[in-house]
Amino acid sequence: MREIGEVLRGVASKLLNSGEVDLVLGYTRGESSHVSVPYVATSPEETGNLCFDGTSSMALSKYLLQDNFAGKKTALIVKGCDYRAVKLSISENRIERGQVYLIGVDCPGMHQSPFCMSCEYKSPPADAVDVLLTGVEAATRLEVSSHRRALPEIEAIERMSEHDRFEYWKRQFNRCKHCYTCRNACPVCTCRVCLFDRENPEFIDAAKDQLAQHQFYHVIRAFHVADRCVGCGECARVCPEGVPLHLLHQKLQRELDKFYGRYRAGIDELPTPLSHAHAHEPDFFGKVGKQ
Amino acid sequence: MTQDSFEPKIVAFCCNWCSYAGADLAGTGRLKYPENIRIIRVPCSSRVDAALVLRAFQNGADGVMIAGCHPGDCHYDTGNYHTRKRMVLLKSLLEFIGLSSDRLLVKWISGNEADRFQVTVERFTKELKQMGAYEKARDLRCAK
Repeated sequence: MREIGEVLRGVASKLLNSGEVDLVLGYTRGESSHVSVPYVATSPEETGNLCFDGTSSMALSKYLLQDNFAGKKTALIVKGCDYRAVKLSISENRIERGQVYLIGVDCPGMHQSPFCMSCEYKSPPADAVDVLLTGVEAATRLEVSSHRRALPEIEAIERMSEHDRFEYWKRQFNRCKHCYTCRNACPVCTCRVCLFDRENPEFIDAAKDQLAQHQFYHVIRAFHVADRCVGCGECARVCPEGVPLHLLHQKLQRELDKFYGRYRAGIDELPTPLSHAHAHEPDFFGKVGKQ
Repeated sequence: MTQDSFEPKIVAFCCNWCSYAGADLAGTGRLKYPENIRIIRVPCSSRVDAALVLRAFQNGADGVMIAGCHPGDCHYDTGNYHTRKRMVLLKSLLEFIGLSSDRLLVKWISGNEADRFQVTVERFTKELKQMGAYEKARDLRCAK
């Protein structure tokens, strides 16, 4: 049985040789054996540098929104969660389906992602991608237990008293340095002009230990991707301070599921739950005449 | 500051078409409501997003009230459906990060419910007096 990287290099080289795509966007080995970094192969020779394993966790679809990818047909390596982000971007008209060639991979589970242990969506559906690499051996494969409850941390926090919850998040948020890596790594946080990129915003600056600013940033960001989070866990993985940001997003998803029925961004079709509102939905703020 | 002398600050976002008219009617009808409230007129209650609420708390509000038309009465048909959808999420997220969600009040008040406006503000002021000043979400630079 062949290793997945080998198959991938073969596919990529064939695609570039035939001229079917202009670029292959994937991963290559980084500084050490447990780091992989994004890589763009532009010629068949360069595909020899491509790799894929349990460290290839970055979601690459956001690169396609950059100007230098415009007008070039790009082959993109997608895991299950990456495909969800791509599908969302395509249905939101940010990426053209004809512009991308999707190389689906059967994801072995990423080493540092908080979600992979309970992931139900490891590889993209075979009919949605142009080629799906399955049945190939990955170097390591995370054991996924379907019985494992996803993110027990959320329930643990919910069980705390209000004071403890506040102290817990104060400890977490106060480490935030406003580097915005979580925003940059998030595959669905794709506004052309970000609220937090304004010059001299009055609500946020580089000062540390200003809890209110951290609360502001993280609550607003959680809201902006509330119904669109694809559960890749990149926000938490890339955070240099280890703030468990995925808990905020998943908390909101759970609330949405509880109130308005289950919706999985990038699997279910649009509209996302927060982009429409109807009369028949539950009203939590009282009826007419009730004080 | 003792409990008795504490006067909470309330920022009330009132929708132009119903709640602001309701507040106006309360004034015309000489219904007295606590002066703790600072009314901000918004075109629709769905104009109020998480950022406005948090910014009010940062800037010194002890409570935030969002008042809109009753469901079904929205001037823009679906505005208040969006409001209730967002605000229930915001409340649970605030609760999750340890900020009290009781300090955010969402209420449907129509243009002729001056008494309801009065009672709502009175009750909210009383509740906030009991809860005390809100320091958890304060922006230090805004402190006087």
